[in-house]
Amino acid sequence: MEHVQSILQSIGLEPERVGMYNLSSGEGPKFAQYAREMDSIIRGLGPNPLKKAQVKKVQREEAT
Amino acid sequence: MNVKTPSRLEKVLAGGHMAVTSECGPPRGSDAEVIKKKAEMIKDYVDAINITDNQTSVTRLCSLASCIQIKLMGLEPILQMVTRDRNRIALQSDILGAASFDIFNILCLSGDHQSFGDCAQGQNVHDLDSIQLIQTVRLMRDEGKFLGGDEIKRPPQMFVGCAANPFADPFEIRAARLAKKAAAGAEFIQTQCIFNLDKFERWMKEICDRGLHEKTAILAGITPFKSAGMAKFMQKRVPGMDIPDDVVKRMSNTPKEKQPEEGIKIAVESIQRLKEVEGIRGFHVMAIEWEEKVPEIVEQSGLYPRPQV
Amino acid sequence: MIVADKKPIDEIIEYVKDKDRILVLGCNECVTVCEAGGKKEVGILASALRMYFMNQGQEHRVDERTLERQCDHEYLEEIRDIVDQYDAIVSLACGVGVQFTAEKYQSTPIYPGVNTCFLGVTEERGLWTERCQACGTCILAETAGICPISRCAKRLMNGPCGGSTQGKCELNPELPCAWQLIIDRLQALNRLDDYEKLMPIKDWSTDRAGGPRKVVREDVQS
Repeated sequence: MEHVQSILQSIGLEPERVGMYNLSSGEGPKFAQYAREMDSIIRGLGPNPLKKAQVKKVQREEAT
Repeated sequence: MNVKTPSRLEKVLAGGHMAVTSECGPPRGSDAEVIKKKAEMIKDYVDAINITDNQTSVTRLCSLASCIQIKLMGLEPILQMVTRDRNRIALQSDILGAASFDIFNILCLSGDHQSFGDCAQGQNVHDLDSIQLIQTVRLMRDEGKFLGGDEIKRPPQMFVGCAANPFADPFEIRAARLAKKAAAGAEFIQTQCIFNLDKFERWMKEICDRGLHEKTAILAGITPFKSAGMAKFMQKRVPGMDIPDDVVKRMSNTPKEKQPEEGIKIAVESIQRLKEVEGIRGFHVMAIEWEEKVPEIVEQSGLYPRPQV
Repeated sequence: MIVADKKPIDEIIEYVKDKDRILVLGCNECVTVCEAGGKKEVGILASALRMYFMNQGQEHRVDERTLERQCDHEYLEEIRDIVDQYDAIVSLACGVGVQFTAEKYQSTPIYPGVNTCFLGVTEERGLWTERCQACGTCILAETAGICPISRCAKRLMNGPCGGSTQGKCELNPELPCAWQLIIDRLQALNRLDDYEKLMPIKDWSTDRAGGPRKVVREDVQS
C-alpha cells in the first residue's frame, strides 16, 4: 500500500486516494463505515485530477 | 648487535632494552608547528614516534610530510601507511619518498573504512592489503627490487612493523594471525591498547608457545584514561576493545578531579606488570590529545631515560 | 544474477517528460527475478507514466513490451520494425541491456529505468545481496568458496582487519565479516591450517582496472 501511495505521490496525485481495509464478508456494518470514511476523504480531496484532465481533453476535441 | 637498518628503534630492541614508542596525530591543516610541538613534548621519552595516516579516514596532513618534519628536527619517525588510499605504485613511491629523507621505520596497516571519515563517498583502493605491504617493504629493502622486478637505486632501509589486536575477533585464529604477519616479514608489532591484562597475558602465552616472540618484537599498547567517561565510552562504543568492568569501576569510583591521575596510575601499573611478561619487548603509549602526559607515564614506569644506542 | 533496483519515478519522468511516444521495455531475465524490470514492473511504470501525463493535461503514448533478454542480438531484433514509432525507450533491463539496445537503435534515445547494483543472490524474496565482483581471476578455491573481494569491504586477501567484531564488519553490524565466514568454512572443511598461507598480491589486470574486458572463444565462433 505504501508503495502504491509513493508511486501516486511521485506522479503528482494525492496518496490518500488509495487505501486498504481488511474485513470479512460477515462484517456488513464495518464495510459501510469504511465506505463512508473513504467517501469523506475523497470528497475532501475533490474530483480525481485525471478525470478533470480527461474532461478537458474531450472539451478540446469538441471545440475543434 | 644484529641490525638490518639504521633505525634507532631496531637498535634499542636489538640491544635488549625495552623500547618505547608513542604517536602524534597530524592537524587538519597545513600548519607543521602542530606536529612539531607534539613531537617536542615527547622526544626524550620515546625511541620513535608514530605519525598516523589519515586516521579514521579523516583527511589530515599526510603521515609522510609530518614524518619529514620531525626527521628534520633530528627525531625518529615511524611512517604509518594505510593501503586504503594508495595503489601499489603510490605505496612504493611514498616509501622511496620517506627513504629519501632517511625515515627508517614503517607501520603497515589496512586503514579504517572511508565511511567513518569525512569522505564517505570516496573510492577505496586496497590494491594491496597490510600483509602484502609488509612483504613489499621487505622486498624493496632486502632485495632492492620493485614489485615489478626492476632494481631500486638506493633501496629503502626501513624497519617494518604492523599492528595487532589481541582482543580482536575471530577468536580461533588469534595466534595464527600474528604468525601470518611475522611470516610476511613484520619485525615489530604494536598492539591495540590493553586493559584486560589477564586475557592479554594468555594471548602472549599462545604467541610464545609458537615461538613468535622471537620472530617479531611485540610492543604492548597502553592508553591512559583521561576520565571515567572516556573509559565507559571506550568499553561500550569502540570495537575490538576489551575493558574489564573493574577497571571502569576503578575510574568511576574516583572523584572527578582525581580521575586523570588515576588513569595514569592504571597505565603505569599495567606497564610495570607487563614488563615482566615473556615476549613483551616494549610499549607503545597512545595518549591521543594528551601527549603532554607521555613523559610522566614513561618516567613513572621506570623507562626513563631512554638508552643511548 | 545481475541485481538491479527501480529508479525513482520522478527521475524517469525527468528523462521522458517531453517525449510524446514512449516504449517501456522490460527484460525477462535477471531484472524479473529481482522484481525491478520484468513484465509486471513494466506495466506499473507504464501505468504511472500514463497517469502522470494525463494529470498534466497531456496525451502521450506509453506502450509496453518485455523481451526475453536485452543482451542478445536476436531478442533486440524483435523490436526493429516498431522502434521508429517511438521518441524514447525506457529500458528496465540492467545497464548491459540499456547499452546494447542503445547500440542497436542509435537514433532513438534510450533511458535507464533501473539502477544496476551488483552480481548477487536472492537470499529470500525481497532481499538480494552481493556475491561477485567479476575480478576475472577467481580465487574461491583458496578461500573455501567465499569471496573476499566482493564480501570484504576492504577486499583484503589476508583478512580479517582489526575492525571485525563478533563476526560482523566494522561498516555495519548487519554485514557479516567475510573473513569470519571464510574461517568458519575452513574450519568446517578441516582446513583451518590453510588460513596461515599468505595470499599473493592480486593481479587486478583482469579486473575493471585493466580496462573494458572481453572473452573470446574461438572454438565456438563461426
